[in-house]
Amino acid sequence: MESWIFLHIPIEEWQERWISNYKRIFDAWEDGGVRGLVVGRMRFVQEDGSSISAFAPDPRVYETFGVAPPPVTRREPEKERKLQEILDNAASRGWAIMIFDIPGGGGSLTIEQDPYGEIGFQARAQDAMNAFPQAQGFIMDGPGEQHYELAWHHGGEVLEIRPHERERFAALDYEIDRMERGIAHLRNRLRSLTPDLVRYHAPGGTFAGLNLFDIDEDVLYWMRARQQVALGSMRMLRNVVDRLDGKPRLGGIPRITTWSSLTGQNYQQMAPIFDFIFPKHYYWHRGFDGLYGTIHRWVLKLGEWNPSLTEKDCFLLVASLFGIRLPGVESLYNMERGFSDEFFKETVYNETRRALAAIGDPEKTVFWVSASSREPHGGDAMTARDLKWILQASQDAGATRFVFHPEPAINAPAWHVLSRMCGNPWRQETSTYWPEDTWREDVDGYGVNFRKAQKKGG
Amino acid sequence: MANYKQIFDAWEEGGVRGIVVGRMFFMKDSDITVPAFPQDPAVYVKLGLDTPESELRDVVKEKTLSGMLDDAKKRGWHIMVFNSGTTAQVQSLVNRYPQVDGVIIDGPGENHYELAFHHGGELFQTLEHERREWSEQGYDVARIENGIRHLRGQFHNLTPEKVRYHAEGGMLAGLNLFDFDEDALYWWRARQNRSRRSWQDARATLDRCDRYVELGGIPRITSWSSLTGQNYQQMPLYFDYIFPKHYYWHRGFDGLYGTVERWVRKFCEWNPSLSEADGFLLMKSLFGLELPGVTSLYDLEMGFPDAFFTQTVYNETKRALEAIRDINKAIFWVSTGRYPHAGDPMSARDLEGILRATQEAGAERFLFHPDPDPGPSEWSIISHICGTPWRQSPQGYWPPDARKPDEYLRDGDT
Repeated sequence: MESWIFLHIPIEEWQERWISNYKRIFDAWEDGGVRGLVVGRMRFVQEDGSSISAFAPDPRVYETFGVAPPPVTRREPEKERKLQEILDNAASRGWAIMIFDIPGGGGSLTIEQDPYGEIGFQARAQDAMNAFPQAQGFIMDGPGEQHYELAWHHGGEVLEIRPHERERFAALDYEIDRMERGIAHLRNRLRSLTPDLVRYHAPGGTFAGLNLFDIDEDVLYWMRARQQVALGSMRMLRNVVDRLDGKPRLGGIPRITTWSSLTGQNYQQMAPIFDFIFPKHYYWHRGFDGLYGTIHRWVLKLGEWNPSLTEKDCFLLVASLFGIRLPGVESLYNMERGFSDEFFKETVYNETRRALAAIGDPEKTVFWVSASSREPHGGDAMTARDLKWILQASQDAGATRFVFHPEPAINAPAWHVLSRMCGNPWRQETSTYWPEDTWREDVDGYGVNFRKAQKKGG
Repeated sequence: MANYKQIFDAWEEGGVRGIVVGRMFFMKDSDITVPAFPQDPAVYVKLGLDTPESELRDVVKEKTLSGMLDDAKKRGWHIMVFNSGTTAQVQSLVNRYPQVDGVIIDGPGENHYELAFHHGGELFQTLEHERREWSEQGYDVARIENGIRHLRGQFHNLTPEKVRYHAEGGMLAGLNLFDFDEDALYWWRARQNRSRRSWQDARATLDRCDRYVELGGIPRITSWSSLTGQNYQQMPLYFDYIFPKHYYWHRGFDGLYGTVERWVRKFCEWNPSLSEADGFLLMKSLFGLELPGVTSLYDLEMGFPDAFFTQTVYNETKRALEAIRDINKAIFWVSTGRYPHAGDPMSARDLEGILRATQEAGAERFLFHPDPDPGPSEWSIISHICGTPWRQSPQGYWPPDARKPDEYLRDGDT
């Protein structure tokens, strides 16, 4: 498989041992099969925790679009220079380079005139692409994403319309009252579930699901409105990219297929809009955005709202809504025990197959993989075994490319897996490269690599 | 009828504890039928209705039938009549046959469930009487027809990638796969309300009789119930007995294999780029159905693997029992035989597989519907599971759907 790596900025996270060593690291990565980089967000962190832009905004770009430029902040020229040098080096290797995330904002049009913030976004995108000519394009995380958690989590919950969403729906002439009625109806139903209702309907497919959740026309109106707005947001990105100088490439990172019907990120609709789609192979428990964690929260919340339901009933509900059945998982405790072999062979395999079927172009599909990570998105650790089997299942299902997203940084077992699957297997005894997130006694001594724990008061 | 005592003796020994009789007419020569009971003029007068013209009767057969029912009643058997009617008709029935405990409606409130035109209808149509009913109930018929048109259009615009992306994604993905819009949902919900209203009417009809008449209903099995509108959780409010149809044959009508086959075939006809496996994925998405070992239409010709009974029949039974929530109300209507509803034959092995899985899932009662008549192997299985196992003998009961052993016929017996 072809691997890319996500260089997660703030750059300070990896500056200490990384920036000064980037050539050696890139050499090792190239040998291990890396063929692309995703870099971002493009900012530097200050000592007080605030961040500044990693490049100087060009006021002329903003003037062209009639948009006020971002406020002037201080600059760090040496870091900027180093970042450019790193990207030059990567580009010289022929690697694909994509910028991670372009912030929105700016523009003077009303929301009715510009409901998706197209003008401001266009100015910022042009500015970023001008600043980093090494990049072929940019990637938006969660484009068009509608909320997907039943419990309040990660800044929202599914059964609500947040203020900024309400403004947009109103600007687009949706009937807010009707949407609110639909949400209220569904919320009430989701709190009125009984074991017999669940056990009768949950295995019965879409038709029975309509009965189980008593989907009425108002609920459907709200659900479809979410999807239409998601599509509108994504189309806006395409419109912008088509007008940018240099015709950069556009990438989007949606949640994995199982959630996509709820987030509104319809992979089939995304395919003609995006040059690259990066389905999130995120499976951890807890934290945010991991499949185990989201299922866990749905099951917990459904159980809390409907005390007569067993955990098994709640898993049936999740299966009815999303079609997902985790192998060997019938209780929340089962989830604490991590990932069975079948999880990869069935669940990850199916997610990959569905994504590839929908997108219809393996070259366009670059799975965004985070595992062998100590703290994936604040969640429970995932091991190199998990990484290996996610990649293996993806490959078996027909995937040819992925981005590895190390969290917090790449570690030794992950690099063993990646290099073995994509290039020349790493030999730690002879290599001059040592993945940063693994303690090394002869270099670090004792205790040095516990700095993160120390930061947290550990 | 001439031999009912011997038959009832054998059945009783084999564990039979109830009978369903009907439809209530007698055959005469030249395919003419006469009612098995007269309309009682006094009933009509009491209900303020015009007295119907008197019809032909066969008093001798009525008497024999009454004797049979007396005999069954003496054995403590429950007696239900297959088919209901107006209040006057049911009252006339129970006046003539007071042994009857109740009546059963086949397919009560059933909306059509076949994608192909079959058995007199198809899913994407509204019949004149349906339009009239909806209109009377205040529904917007034009909107219903918009919904049907929209959904029919979507059913003709399926592609492999769309199916393979959405079909395994549960209800939320299913809504995308078939692009359910508000009008389509309006139609779908109107169908369900229509079902419920028909049950209310059926119950109210019987409640106007001068004694309590039990009501039974025979809905299609759970997998189809969300489409037929026969919601198993709502039905117990109106029905004393629910007889879920354990109908699994291929071809003919009302069998699960046959319905699945017709849906898959129609999907593939309407969407030529789909494979048969895609067609089966669509069935999974719509109905949650996954037939063990079946990924092609040819697989359906191979009949029923053991897993079909231990998984599919078991799950259908479990779901039905969960929904009905009263073990005494649930009596599974089991049919196998040479010509089950004109479909492919189902063997005694299939009968046993159905009954074992049903029992395993927690059911306690079933009704056997021989098609056309019970055979020796079927009776062996039923008696073995429910009573004293039948042992064939020259003088004993012989189930009619098979030729007797030659040695029994040596002396010219028939």
